[in-house]
Amino acid sequence: MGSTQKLTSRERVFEAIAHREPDRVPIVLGSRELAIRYSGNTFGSIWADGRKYVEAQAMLIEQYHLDVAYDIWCTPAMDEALGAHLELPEDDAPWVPKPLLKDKKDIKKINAKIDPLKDGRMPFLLDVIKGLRARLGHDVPISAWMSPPFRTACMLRGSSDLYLDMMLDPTFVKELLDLVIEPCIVYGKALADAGADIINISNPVANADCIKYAHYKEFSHPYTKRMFGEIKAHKDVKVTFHTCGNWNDRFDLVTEENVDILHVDKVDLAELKKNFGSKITIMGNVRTVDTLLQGTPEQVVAEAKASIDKAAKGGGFFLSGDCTVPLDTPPENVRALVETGLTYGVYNH
Amino acid sequence: MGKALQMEILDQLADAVIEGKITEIEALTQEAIGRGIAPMDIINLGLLKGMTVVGKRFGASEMFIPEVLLSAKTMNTSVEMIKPLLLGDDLGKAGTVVIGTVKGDLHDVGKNIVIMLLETAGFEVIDLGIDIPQEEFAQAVREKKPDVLGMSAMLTTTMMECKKVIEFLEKENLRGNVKVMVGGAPLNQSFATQCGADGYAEDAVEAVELVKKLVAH
Ligand code: B12
Ligand SMILES: [Zn+2]
Repeated sequence: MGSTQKLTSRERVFEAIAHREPDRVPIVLGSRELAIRYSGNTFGSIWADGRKYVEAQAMLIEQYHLDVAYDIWCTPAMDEALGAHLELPEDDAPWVPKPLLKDKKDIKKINAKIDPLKDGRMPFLLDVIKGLRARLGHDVPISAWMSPPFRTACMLRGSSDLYLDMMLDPTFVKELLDLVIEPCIVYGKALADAGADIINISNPVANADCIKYAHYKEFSHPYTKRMFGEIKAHKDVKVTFHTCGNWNDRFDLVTEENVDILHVDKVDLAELKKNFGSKITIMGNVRTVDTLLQGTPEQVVAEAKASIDKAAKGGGFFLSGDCTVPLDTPPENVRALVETGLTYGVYNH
Repeated sequence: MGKALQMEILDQLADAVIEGKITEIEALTQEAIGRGIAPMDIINLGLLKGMTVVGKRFGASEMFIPEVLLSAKTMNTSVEMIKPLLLGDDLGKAGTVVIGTVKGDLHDVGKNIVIMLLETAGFEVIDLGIDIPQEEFAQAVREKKPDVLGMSAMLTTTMMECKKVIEFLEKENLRGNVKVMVGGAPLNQSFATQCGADGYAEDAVEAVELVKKLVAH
């Protein structure tokens, strides 16, 4: 396998982002769950000792030839830093049982001045990024997750209530967005300072399954754009936007949000490449649930090849799943995807 | 009062629900009551008729979740005014439903819409919330003695929980006491049958019909 590996992962990934063809397509999987499972850990054991997660990522990168390491993301760490209680299940992702802003009036009680080096789980998350950098060196880019203002507002308020607020009290929604954007920017800068090369977000509460285009344009788009603008002005990082669910009517806005990489769900990559491929890198999109989790290696190979056929030409492409890879995905399916990237994904210069 | 005028007011109520005219619904409801339209007719021929259209438009991506929630809230505002007028056998007696999102699953927007419509249709609904383990479902069946237990599952990875809960109810000798319905985006009728549920509904309007059917049996 090694013979086609002419570049380091960093060179390969950044060549692709620059829309030049590297030696082969970069292979990038949202790999928190895989790292935990394949190393025999649980979420619980990782929370108890972040070094175990660093080792797990290192193992995954080495054995599966992945080109990007992922931090142990915990988007609700923001809710916690702002005062909510965070639940850490033994073997599942962390979550917040009770939104902080059940009562709108409580917005006055929120102290938006967070300190990522002190508050809640944030210092732990940042230490893991530093640990990854120390363990993996310069050659492997690190990708770290955070939450954009609209999603953060939804989580703090509860999605149903925030959606109703958009209809009945848009001024309150703006007030909340103005409040949360500052800690979002602060945390994003802290991720960059800790060593993240790529910042990741997803915004599943703002897609076309949930809100209309005009609402997206008013309540989500300008805030995400400003957030990434300020983080990038602070440090030269790249940005991945995972468009979870259906985003077909709003890629025009998303691609104007200081975003470099679109990690897409179920869309036609050929069409996306045609419309936006010259300004953005496309990452995707083997189906994670139907194929990686529940399908056969043959199905994985077929879908991975189709993705490469549709979007790899000219660079600007990472081979990936259509979402985070689920916890119990069989190793042979992950291998099938990787193998396809290593062989079929070679660029013929 | 003439039938035509009654129909006109009922249509206006339906329209207010569809458009989410929450500031106008009170006056319209007053007018309907004042003109002697039967409370159950206001609900069934006015409000729920509107909500059925909302369900269809949502399915066709012509309406989105904020608009749907506002429609549901508009309808609820009217129902709250009508409730005191309903006879004993119209309301409350309709039946009791316990509902929750299964373990490992945090989605609740759809479940909340189902709850609003069930309450409108006169059911008492006990909402267990999200991430509910089988023991908690069983305990609620034991203590609240509902007619129907509803489970919502939105992830392919959590839908099997429905089956586990049903098996657990059987083990605890509670299955015979309650009808079970399931719902959520990745589910369908054949999955529901397979996992031993008594019913499945694709959306909230259908869920109301389903509960009525399950309670009648
Ligand atoms: C909003 C949303 C979220 C929000 C949830 C906010 C909230 N408080 O609910 C957040 C951001 C938290 C979220 C998180 C995740 N989500 Co999500 N989410 C969605 C989304 C976009 C919309 C869901 C929704 O509210 N729909 C609107 C309502 C009105 O419709 P509904 O839920 O289907 O409900 C109707 C019917 O199903 C029915 N019904 C519902 N419940 C019941 C119950 C009964 C008894 C009955 C009879 C009927 C019934 O009636 C309802 C009203 O008509 C869907 C995409 C989609 N289109 O479904 C993804 C989706 C469900 N999520 C998905 C995923 C993968 C996730 C995450 C794993 C993402 C991640 N990697 O972190 C996490 C999981 C968190 C967890 N453990 O649950 C996937 C699931 C894929 C799969 N097949 O398993 C979907 C399909 C998106 C996708 N990628 O395609 N998500
Ligand atoms: Zn996704």
